Amino acid sequence: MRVAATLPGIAIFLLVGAAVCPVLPLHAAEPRGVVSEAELKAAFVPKFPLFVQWPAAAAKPASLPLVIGVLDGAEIMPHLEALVTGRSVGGRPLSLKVCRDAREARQCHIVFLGSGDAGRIQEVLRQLEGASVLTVSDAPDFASQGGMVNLVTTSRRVRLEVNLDAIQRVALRIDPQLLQMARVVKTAAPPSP
Amino acid sequence: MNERPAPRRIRLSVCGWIVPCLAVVLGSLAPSRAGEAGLADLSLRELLNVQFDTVSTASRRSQRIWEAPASVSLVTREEIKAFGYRTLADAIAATPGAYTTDDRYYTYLGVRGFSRPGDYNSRVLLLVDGSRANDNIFDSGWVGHESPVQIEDVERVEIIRGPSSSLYGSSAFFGTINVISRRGGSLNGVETSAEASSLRSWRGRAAAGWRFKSGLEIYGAVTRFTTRGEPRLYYAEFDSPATNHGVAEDLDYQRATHFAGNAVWRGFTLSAGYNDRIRGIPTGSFSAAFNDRRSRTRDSSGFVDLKFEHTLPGGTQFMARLGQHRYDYRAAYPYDMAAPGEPPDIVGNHDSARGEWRGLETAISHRFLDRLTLTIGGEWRDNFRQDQLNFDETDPVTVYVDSHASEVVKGVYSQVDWSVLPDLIVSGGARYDHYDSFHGTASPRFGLIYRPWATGAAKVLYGRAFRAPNAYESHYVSAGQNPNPDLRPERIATYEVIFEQQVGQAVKLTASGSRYHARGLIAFDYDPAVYSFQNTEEARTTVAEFGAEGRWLDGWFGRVSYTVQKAEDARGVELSNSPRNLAKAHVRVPLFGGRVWVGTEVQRVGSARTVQPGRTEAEWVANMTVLARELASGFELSASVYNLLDRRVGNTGFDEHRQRIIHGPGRAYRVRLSWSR
Repeated sequence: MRVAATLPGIAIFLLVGAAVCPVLPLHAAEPRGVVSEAELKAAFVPKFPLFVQWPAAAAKPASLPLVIGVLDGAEIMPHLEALVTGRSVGGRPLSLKVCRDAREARQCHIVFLGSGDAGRIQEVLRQLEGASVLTVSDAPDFASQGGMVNLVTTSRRVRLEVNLDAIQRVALRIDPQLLQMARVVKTAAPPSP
Repeated sequence: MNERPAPRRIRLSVCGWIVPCLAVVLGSLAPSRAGEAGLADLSLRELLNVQFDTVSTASRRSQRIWEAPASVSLVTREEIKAFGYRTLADAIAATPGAYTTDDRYYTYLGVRGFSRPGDYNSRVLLLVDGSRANDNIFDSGWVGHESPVQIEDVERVEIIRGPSSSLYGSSAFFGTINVISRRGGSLNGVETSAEASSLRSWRGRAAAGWRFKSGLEIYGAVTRFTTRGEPRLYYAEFDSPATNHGVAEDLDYQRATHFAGNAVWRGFTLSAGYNDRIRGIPTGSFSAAFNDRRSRTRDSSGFVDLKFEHTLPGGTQFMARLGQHRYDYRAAYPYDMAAPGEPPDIVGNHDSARGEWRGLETAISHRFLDRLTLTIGGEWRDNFRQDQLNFDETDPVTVYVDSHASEVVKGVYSQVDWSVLPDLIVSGGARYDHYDSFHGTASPRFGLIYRPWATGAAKVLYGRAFRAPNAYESHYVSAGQNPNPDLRPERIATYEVIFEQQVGQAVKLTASGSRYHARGLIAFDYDPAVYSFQNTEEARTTVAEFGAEGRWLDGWFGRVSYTVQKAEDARGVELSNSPRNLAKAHVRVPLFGGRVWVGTEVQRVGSARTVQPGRTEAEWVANMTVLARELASGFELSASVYNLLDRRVGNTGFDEHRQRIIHGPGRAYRVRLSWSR
C-alpha cells in the first residue's frame, strides 16, 4: 500500500478543504428523519419543564441547569442527548445525567425510568418517595402503579397518562394544559401477593 | 497475485472537488434553518400527533421487531458512519448471516447460505422506501457502487432474512432489503462532504434538506465517486505473452454519479433517483480479450415514485403508489477473432439492455378490536419495455440478439396478524401473482410468535416464495444460446425458528435455525443439445445462527454473531459460493465524552467451494473507523482503514471467468470530511 504517497495527498486535501469551507456561524444539523419510537419518546421529556413547577427548595436558582436524569434508559439515551445538549427551556439550560440508582435520581428534576424490569421500577419509585422529582417512564401501567407521567404507545403514537395524586403529593405544580392533553389516572391498589 | 502498484503522487481530481465546493458556496448563501422544525421544536401537542416507525418491511406496516414474522436486522445511519460503510453492500455484509462476493464487475449478496454465482442478485428483493428496485431485465438488485442506493442518503436499512413473496411477489426469495431514505428533516440545512481513499478514489457529495413549518419536507443530494482501482491486476490464468503476461492494467476503474431527492407533504411523498456507474472489466470475463481497454460495463437507472398515505378517522391506513422506472445496461466486450498464434484481430461486441416499467400499488390495513390486524393489497406492474441487444462491430454489424419483450404482472395479497393472547400472535398471509408467461403462482406464509415472558420472544415461521424467470433467461439468444420462453418460476419452501431474549436493559440475544428447500432453480444447461436456461437445479440449506447485541447508555455498542451453514444440491454436493461459517464482531467505543467514536469491525468468512474445482480459504477481515463527530462547529472527520490485516480475500470466479478465484482489495485507507449547517 502506498502509505508514503497517500498521506501527503490526504494532508493537502484536508488543508485545502479547511481553507475552502468558509467558517461562518455554523450549526450542526441534528440527525432526524424517520422517527423511531425511542426518539419520539425522548422528544417528550424536555417538554415537561414547561408544564411543571418545582417547589422553591428543589427549584434552585434559575441560572443553574435543570437536570434530566436517565435510569436504565439505554434506548432513549442517545436521542435525549441530541435533544438536550445545548438547549434550554424557559431560559433555563438543560443538562442530562445518567443515574445508577435512586440516590442519584433524587438530585434530578425529572427522571426517566427505562421499561425493563417492573420490580426495579417499583423499588426506585419507593426510594424516590417524597422527593420533588417528576418521574417519567414508558413502562406499562407506570402511572397507575405510582409513577407520575407514563408515555403510552397506541397505533404508532405516544399518549400521556398522568397520575395527579402522585405529582401533588411531592408538591409539584402541574399546568392544567398538560392535564387536558393527558389521561389522568389514579394509583391502583397494589396487587395482593 | 495482485501486483503492488508503483508509488505515485496523488493528483487532486477536479470532479471530486467541484461538488463540495459548489455546495459550500450555496450553503453560505442559504438562510440558516437552525432550530426550524425537527422533533425538538415541536410543541407537546404536536408531538402527540407524530407517528413513529419501527420495522416496516416484514409486514408492509410498522411493527415492533419482536412482533415481525421474520428474522430482522437493522443498520442505522449512526452505524453507517461509525463503521465507515462505503456502499450498501458494506452495510448489509455487517449483519448476521449476510456476505458479499465482488468479482470486480458487480457485487453479489449472499443470505442464508445462498449466493448463486452469476445470478445478478435476482433472488434478493431490493426495495427503496418500499418500492421495488430490482430491474425488469435481469431482476438485479444492486448493492455496490452500481446500486440505485447511495449509502449517505440512507436513514436506515431493514434486512429481512428469508422469503417475503407473500407480500412482495417475485425475487423476495432468500431475503428482502428495504432502504429507508433520508428526508429533509434529517438534515435541516446543507451538508457537504469530500473523501479521499486509496487507489486514487474520491467522493464528493452535496446535500440539502429542510422541514418547513408548513410540514413540507424536501431533500436532495448529488454524489460523484471515482476510483482508479488497482492499476495492475495479475491473473495467472492469463499469464502468456499474448495477454500481457496476465496483467490487466488500469481496468479496475469506476465512475459513478448519483442523485436522490424527495419531497413530503401531507400524506404525499414524491421521490426520484438516478444512478450511473461505469466500470472497467479487468478479468477478461465472457472470453473477451484480456487487458483490452475497451472492456467496460455501464449501468444506469432512474425512477420517479409518488406515494400517498392516509389514516382514515376509524384508524384504517391507506396507501397508494404510482411509479415509473428505467434501467439501462451497456457493456463492451472486445473479442479476439484471430486463430491461435495469429496476430490479434479484435472485434468489439456490444451487449445492452433497456428496461422500463411502471407500477401501481395499493394497500389498506385495519386493526380490529385491538386484536387483529388485516392488510389487503394489490399490485399491477407493466414491464412495457424489456429490450436486449447484442451485436458485433463488424461492417455491416452482426446482430446476435435483438429481443423486445413485455409483460404485465398482477398480484393480490393479504395478511392477518391476530393477537390470540396478549403474548401470542398468529400471523398468516398469502399472495397470488399472475404473469403473462407462466400464469399464476401462490406464496403463503405462516408464523407463530410467542412471548413466554416479557423479555423473550420465540417465532416459528413457514413460508413459500418464488422468483419469476426474467427477460434475460427467457429471451436472450447469443452465439449458440437458445431462448427458453417456457421457463417456470423457481420455488422455495422455508422453515425457521427464532428466539430473542433481552438481558437487562442493554443486551439482546438471538438464536435461530432454518431449513430452506429451493426447487426448479434456473441455471444454464451447457448440453449442446439444450444450451439454454432450464429449471434444473435444486438446493437445500440448513443454517444455525447465534447473535448478541448490546447498546449502552454512554454510546458503547457491540454486536457479535456466528452462523454455521450447510448448502447442498439434490445430489448432496455442497453449493459453490456458500461459506460454511461466518463470524462477525462489531464494537463502537466512545471517547472524549462521546465526541469521538472508534468503530471496529472484524469478519471471518469461512471457506467456500469455488465454481471450478477447489475451495476459497477462510479469511479474517478487520476494518476500523475513527469518527470525530464534532471536530469544530459543523465539521465531522472520519478516518478508516479497511482490511487492516491486508488479507487476500478470495471470491469464487463464475462460469464466465477463466479465474478460479478473484481476489478482493488489500488494505485501503479513507479520510472523509463533512461539513453541515
